[in-house]
Amino acid sequence: MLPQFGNFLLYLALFISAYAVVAAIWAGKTRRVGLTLSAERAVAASFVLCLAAMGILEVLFLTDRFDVHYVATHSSRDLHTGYKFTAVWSGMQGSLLLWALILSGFIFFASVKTRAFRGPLASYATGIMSFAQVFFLALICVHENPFLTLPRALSDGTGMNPLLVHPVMAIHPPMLYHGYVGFIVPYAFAMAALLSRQIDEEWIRTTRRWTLLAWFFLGTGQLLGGKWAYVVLGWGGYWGWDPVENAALLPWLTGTAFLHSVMIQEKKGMLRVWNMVLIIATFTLCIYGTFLTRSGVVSSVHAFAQSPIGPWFGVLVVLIVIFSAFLLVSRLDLLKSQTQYESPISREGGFLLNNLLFVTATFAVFWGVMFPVISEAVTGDKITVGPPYFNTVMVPIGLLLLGLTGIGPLLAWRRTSGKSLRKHFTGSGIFGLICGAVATALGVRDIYAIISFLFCGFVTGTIIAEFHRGAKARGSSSGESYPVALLNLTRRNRRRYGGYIIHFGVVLLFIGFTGNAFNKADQVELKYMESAAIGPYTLTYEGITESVNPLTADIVAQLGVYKRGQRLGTMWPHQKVYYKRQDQQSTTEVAIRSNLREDLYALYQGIDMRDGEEVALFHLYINPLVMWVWIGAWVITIGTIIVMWPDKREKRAISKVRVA
Amino acid sequence: MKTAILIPICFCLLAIPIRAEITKAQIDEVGEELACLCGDCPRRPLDECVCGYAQRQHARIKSLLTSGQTPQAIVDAYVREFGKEVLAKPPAEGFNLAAWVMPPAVLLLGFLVVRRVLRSWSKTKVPATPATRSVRDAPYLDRLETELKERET
Repeated sequence: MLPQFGNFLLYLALFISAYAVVAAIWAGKTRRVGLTLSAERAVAASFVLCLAAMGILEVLFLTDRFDVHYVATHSSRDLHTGYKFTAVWSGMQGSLLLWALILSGFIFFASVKTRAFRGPLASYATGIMSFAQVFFLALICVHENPFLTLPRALSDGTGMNPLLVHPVMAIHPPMLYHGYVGFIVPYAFAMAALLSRQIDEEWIRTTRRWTLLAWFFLGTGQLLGGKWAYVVLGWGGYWGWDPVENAALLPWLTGTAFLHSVMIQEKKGMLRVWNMVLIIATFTLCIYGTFLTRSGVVSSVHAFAQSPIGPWFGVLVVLIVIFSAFLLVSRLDLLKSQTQYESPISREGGFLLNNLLFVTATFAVFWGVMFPVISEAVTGDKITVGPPYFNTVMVPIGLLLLGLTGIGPLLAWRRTSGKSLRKHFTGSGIFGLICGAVATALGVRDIYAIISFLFCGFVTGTIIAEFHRGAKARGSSSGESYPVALLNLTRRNRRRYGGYIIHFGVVLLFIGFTGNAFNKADQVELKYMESAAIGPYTLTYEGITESVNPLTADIVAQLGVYKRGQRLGTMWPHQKVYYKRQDQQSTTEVAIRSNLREDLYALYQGIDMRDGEEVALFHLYINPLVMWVWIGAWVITIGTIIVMWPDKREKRAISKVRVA
Repeated sequence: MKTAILIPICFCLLAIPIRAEITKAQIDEVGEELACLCGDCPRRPLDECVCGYAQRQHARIKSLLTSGQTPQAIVDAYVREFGKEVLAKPPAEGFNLAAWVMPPAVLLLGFLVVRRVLRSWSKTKVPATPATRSVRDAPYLDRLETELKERET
């Protein structure tokens, strides 16, 4: 009964969302308040229904309802309760339902937040977002229904994909979906602005926080995916330029360009067409990424995500491009920008260069992802476009962007004088040069790595200088002590100084990325109490222990870790064999000793026989500076929270105007 | 007579190439040109990958180098066996050259477009009116203006 009820809720949500599309668009056209209210209620109802459908699916998983096909193929009785909860989105049907739920949540909360200034802009936006909701719900109802039942209940399920049994995978997909879905809000408001001919900066201001939220979720989702790959997949890295990783990177790159570019429009009323293009590209790439992930057009290590619904996403991409392009072209005359420009050495020039680099990076990734398909179509030969290609093409672009992160914020609007340039850049430039020189003195010979350290130092210098100048100025004018002035400076201008903190997080990410230039890897075969050296470490194989758990048989290898003859500790890389599964799938659990300098990473690969003696096989890696990637992610999170934190004074000003 | 025999023998011995032990660097030189086709890793170059498949290829490359084959000959042999898919990077020849040319071409084209846009902006002397700023962010923009003015002074 419960699965049928869940199914009923899904269909009801589909029909109500379809009604929301019609009501909202009609309300936008006729400006009838009654219809607007009706559309808002429909959006709320759709959200509640999706939430209830997801709740039912959770109950089905938690109560081991193996008469439901999706539950039977993605869970098992002995799966930990926590993982039964997350197993809901471990397959296609559940992940699509989660997607629909998040989307309905975004539509609902966006409609709530825009109730204060109802009008055609908000109504059209609701209609466009609801159309996407109809698409997803229709796909779920028709193609990927998670509530389909089996003729006879199974005694146990086949279980969750063991690779997904990891805490990071519990939050990585929801984060990524929030990112993909979140960009629909700025996109829908941009299209609504075109439809309603309300071509001012209102749509940008309305959606600024939503855009930032989506950008943050998409970026964090990717980093969590990287963390999962690092600790679960066991190939020693966190980013492999896999097509599915690239699919998530594409909208993030254009989204980052958009976040920067809208500042010119907000401040100067410039780049109105360009910002439309960027947000259209970003949302299109979100759906394109889903198409890539689910269609199997390109080969990927994430092949488990493929499904016959891929072509439908291809159709949606085409529809979005045609609809958006038509709308944009038909409103070009309304999108004429103000022009207030004096010199390329200005904030405007910096933003344009920033956009150019982000768009080039997007193209390079897109081109690299699609080139094997294009090349095979043209030449008939399959080719590989993997990490060496992307590193060759993307590292210079990334470094230029890093350098610009330091330069951009210091440029003044309209024109930056030579004197101002010297004043602001001398200290930071010298600091950057010192960092580059120190890296060289420490033996770094890779030119890109040296440039990276130089730019990291330069950008850090500019950020510190900006905080210092602001705090000093505030302290002298208000009499506040330096720490209080620093705090209040950030509190009173969260967008600017939060942005600097995000930039600092990006610097830390680059420090981590640069470490890749010095990775070391080796495979060793060790007899009992035999040792192998990698970098400054010596690892001694001290035997294995085996244990059988309800779900897995664990084979744990013990490695003693030594450095200069001194024991540092023990590592336990192990294998888990899911012995109850028909396919006897096994996973590797890497052991990692992390510090700020490097990760010592060990992977146990099993036992083999050599000359009649047992040897244990290990993959050993030294990955320098990896921890800075995760620290950078936290710093970006803090910066994003600061930027997004509501500004009470701004709110009060808005309220006063509304009351007036 | 002895000398007459020994001299040609010495020359013959000198002519025999002395094979030094193949180093990891030599194997890596070939490995960096080839992709790991194990299917589990994201097609990393063989010199960076240490999976079982990659290890077998390292051993094979070593034996081919030991037998006197040049790195290029080994790469060519791999291409004959697995197709161009085994190359770690798209070969910079024929149509595949487009893989390498297009990103810098787009950057260059973009740069030219940006330059043109900036020039057209310079020529358009539209009065410097503020953007249609809504009352909602007026306080923020005012603060920003004040700060920028302070900085200029």
